[in-house]
Amino acid sequence: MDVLVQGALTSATLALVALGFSLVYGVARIVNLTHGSFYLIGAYAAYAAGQAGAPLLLAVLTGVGAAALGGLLLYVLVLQRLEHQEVALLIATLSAAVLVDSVVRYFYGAQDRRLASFADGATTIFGVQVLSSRVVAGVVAAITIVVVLSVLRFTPVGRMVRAVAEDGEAAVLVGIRPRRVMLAVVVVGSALAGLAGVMAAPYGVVNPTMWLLPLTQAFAIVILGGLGSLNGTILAAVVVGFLDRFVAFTFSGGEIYVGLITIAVILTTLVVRPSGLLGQAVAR
Amino acid sequence: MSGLLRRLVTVNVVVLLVMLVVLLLLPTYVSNRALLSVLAIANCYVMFAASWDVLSGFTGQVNFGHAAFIGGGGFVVGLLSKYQEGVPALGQLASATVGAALLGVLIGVPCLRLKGPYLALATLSAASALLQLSFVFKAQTGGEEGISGVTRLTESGLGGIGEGLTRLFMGAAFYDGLRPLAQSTYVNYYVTLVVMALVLLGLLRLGYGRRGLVLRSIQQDELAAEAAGVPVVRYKLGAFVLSGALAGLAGGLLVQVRGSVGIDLLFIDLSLLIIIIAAVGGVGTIIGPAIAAYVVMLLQLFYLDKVRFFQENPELKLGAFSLFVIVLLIVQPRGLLPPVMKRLNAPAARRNALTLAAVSAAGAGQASTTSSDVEPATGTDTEPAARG
Repeated sequence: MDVLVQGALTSATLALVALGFSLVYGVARIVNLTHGSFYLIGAYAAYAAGQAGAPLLLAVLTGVGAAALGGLLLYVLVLQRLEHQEVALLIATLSAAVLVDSVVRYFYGAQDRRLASFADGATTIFGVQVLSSRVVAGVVAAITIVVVLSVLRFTPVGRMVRAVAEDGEAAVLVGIRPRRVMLAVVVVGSALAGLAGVMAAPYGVVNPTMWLLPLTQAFAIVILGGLGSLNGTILAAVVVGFLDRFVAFTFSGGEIYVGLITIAVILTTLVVRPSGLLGQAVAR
Repeated sequence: MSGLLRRLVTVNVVVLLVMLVVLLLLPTYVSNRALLSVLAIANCYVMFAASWDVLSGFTGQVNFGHAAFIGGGGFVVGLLSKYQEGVPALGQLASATVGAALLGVLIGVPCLRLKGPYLALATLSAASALLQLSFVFKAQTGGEEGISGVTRLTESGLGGIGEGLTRLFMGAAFYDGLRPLAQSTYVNYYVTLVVMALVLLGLLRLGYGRRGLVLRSIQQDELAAEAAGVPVVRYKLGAFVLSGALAGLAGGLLVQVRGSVGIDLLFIDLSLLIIIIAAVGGVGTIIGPAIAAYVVMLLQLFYLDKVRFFQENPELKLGAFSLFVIVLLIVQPRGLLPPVMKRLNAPAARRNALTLAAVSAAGAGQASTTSSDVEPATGTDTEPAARG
């Protein structure tokens, strides 16, 4: 039961990070290795706002806004200029992630930080004691995911995004500007990661290296779900989320193994079924 | 064909030889021992960069986790020093090389059919898997602390070579007059220099020989290379193993120079620094990344470490390099050195392209005895080759 409840909550947060990653890949065809850094930026911006005395809600908004701004800068300054250069994009985005890491280290040092939460203490769900901050994070993440998916499916904006994802050139023919759509998607994707960072920060670790695990987990989820398939991403997030908690609860000192499990998932998927759970055969 | 190729090799080899002569004679003119210790470390980084280049620059399998091999080799040396004191330093290095080569097989096999982002993720996570494992086996690896008290380079048979070279270049009286610590600085410098020279010469020979052409043909068009009769799987895996083995050797050497092994050798930071070095020097040229390694390491360890701002904020060094490489990728994506090298290489390079076309045409000729539809594939192979 522990694993079920905790797993569901973890899945939701993971799915939020992975959703942004998947969107950016699906629409702009960019594997954004800076994605985990927006998770970090969100958490630190919220921390900074909290230190400055901002109320909690404002701090959260600051975190999300900072991540979105980061995404905007990244797209305009870097991604846009390296269009279609796969390897250069990978190197540049990884460099950007390390750059963010070192700048954060410069301003805030390497030590762990604590963030205030909307809810302190513990809540009981189905007889399981869970940190309230985890519950809040899980619920917010789930709601956000539903909102994002609905926007994509049911609104004209969503239709534009899906059009670009399907065929950028054809989208131009019907009057869509792919670059604008890509910019918007990168900004929204980064904001989603930022939101996840802010919400996960109260019960997680906030330090300059906190970008790497979300990044690899998001990447693992997206690959497991099939690159470009949003439903696959959500499904895979649930799988990885439950695995994550299962490992953490089953083995003593299990948190160490969480990263390893992610990596095992990645490598197994890549070897056994590179197209992922719901992806079509990958065109190479 | 080899006559034309030889000209291309010549420019690189001349650059390498000039570099080696300067480095061999450097201690006789510069008595700054701090510089020599920095250069000993830089020699290892040259091997890191060059071994990365064999895999990533030649076959195009861009490795984002080269630290896995370096740290792997480093920890083999560290663990042997800790648990098997009887193994001499040279034996440790051999084990590190073999261990990293095995790691190359382990990582290389699943990576065979991966490309671009998939490959990046797989290699990145392979390195972080090793990092995690070093924490799981904290009792053995020392966790964050690492292992100190590693067998020194000076205690090995290689140390004798270093001593001999020091006596040769600096004079026996000079060497005997030094304190042991100062002696080890010279020994470390000369040994790393010799190993680095051998590795670089070997890689240049390989890279600009027939095998190098085959490796490049895989990068340009794997299907066409296969159609032309290249055993693609064998070459791709071979590049992985060779790259891993040499990085493991260099990692082991670095650990013996430092006298300790730490998890910093497994960090993503190191993998990225190597990519940065290669990007600055020009991917796929071997000699470019090698020279860039000296520039970057001297800049980092000799210059930036003396700037007060960076002394106080060492984390910003890698940050500054990252920023630089982002700008570089946008402004001069082929690296800083290749435009210069290209000038020197221009006539040979043009012929090199022709040769590549000839090789694949010959290969296709063989293959077409079994299958007649390889002709179009050859066309796609020569086309990108002509750009070079």
